[in-house]
Amino acid sequence: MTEVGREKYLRSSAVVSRVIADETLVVPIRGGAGDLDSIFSFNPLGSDLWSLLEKEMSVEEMTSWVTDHYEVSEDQALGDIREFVGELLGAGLVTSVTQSLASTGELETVHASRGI
Amino acid sequence: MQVAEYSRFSGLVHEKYLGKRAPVEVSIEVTHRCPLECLHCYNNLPMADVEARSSEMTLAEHCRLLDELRDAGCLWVLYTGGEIFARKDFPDIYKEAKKRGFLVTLFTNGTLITPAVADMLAEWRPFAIEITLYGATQETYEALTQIPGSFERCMRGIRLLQERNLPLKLKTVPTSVNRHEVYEMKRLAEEEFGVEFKFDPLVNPRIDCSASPLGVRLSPEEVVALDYHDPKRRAEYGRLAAHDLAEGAGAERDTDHVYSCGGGISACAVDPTGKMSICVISHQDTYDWRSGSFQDSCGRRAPRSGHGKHAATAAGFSPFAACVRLTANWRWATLSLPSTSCAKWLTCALTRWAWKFRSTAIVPCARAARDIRKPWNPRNELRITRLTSGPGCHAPPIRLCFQFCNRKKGAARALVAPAVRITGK
Repeated sequence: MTEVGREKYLRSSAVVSRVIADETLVVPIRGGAGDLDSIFSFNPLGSDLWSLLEKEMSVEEMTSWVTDHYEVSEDQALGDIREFVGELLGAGLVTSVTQSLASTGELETVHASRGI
Repeated sequence: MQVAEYSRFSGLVHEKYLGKRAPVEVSIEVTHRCPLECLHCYNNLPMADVEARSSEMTLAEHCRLLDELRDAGCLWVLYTGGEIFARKDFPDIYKEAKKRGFLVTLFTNGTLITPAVADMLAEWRPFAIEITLYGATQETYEALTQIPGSFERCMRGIRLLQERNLPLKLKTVPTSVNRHEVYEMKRLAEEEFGVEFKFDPLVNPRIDCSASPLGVRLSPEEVVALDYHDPKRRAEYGRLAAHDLAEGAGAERDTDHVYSCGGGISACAVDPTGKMSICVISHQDTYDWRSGSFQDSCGRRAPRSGHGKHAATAAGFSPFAACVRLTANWRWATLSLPSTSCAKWLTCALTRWAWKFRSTAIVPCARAARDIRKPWNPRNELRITRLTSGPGCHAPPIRLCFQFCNRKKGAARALVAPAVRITGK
């Protein structure tokens, strides 16, 4: 499993998610999305987390959201979410925002547009 | 991450939509134009056919169709032709489908695959690509395609895809022209290219009503003989026959329902001009998508709905009948067999034919020694029939009539892990 840090994460632009038969499916569509011969299915909690990752989101922010919406301890949620995000990273479904922008050469541009 | 087999996932999706009018699988013919002139083809038109070209849906229309299919819950899209790469803009259409998250399968003859096309496919990897071989040698291949040089172009296309490790499968349509090379094609595919191979002898009359493809269609006896050459297929005959001959196996099968396949229910087809139908073969009661929408089409009566239940029941079997175009010449056939004790063997033969329709055959066999073949209904759709023996004699002809049953969808278990990788398609 890929190690998860304190940075923010975002869905990879090389995957598309669909809801089919009440299941959230994530379909890698082009090179750079990890295993293109697999598709991925989430259960309701996984679907919620995947929805959060539509925007840049840290593990801590996701944990906060989960503890607000589910009866689960913060420690338990944090551990589970770290594991979940690690699996997504390993499968190429999400990217670390810093890595993603740096790898595409867009880091400075984006920061400039945000007034940083 | 938990891993689930693709077949289980597919079963789960189909199970959830069972009995509902939800088009999870859609076949889209992007063009009927093709650089080959195969003798057995049911829809090909010349590459330079101006009328055909000008009537094809535009890229913008394909995008609208894809949007509507996505919104309707479609997951599997098959692009077929004609030859899909006969359209210069097919890569654009294809990428639009990929961007919308469809699982896209491509049917092609491979002759127009260039390095650029192969690179595009490597970047936008399809769910599957199937290339049809027409022969294992240039002589046979081009005898069927009628285009000099097409064999080498096909081989080049295969190599280009293989070099990029794309999910390629090879297949063929056995005909009277190439049947002697079917197993050489299998060897070529499996041993030299290292890919799966399958064959299906289904040959249909053309959709313009010409019967010319039937000139190269194999007879039922030839089909069975071809199948029996393969130990796996032979074993499958036996297994299915044993199942279908089991006591009480046909009890629930006596019904007048005509269709129980997914056509018009969980699947449909769209031709190059936007005409929607229940499958690529049936062109009766089409819906003009261009003048409406996919959603609107789903609200209309299914072309087949007046003839019985819409779908196979979850409880097991219900009959399936193919449209008359598929089987017009096979509604019955006579085999020279020594006696009615060959009924089991014949059951196997029927099983094989039904298998082509992704169904299991059911035949009460020669126990019913009377001809109960029903007449065609006014819509010329195949009605339920049975296998019967002819009038008594030492070597009675065996009359083959057809009844098909859908196989019960495999039960799919719930996916419980937060994320499941589905693989192994």
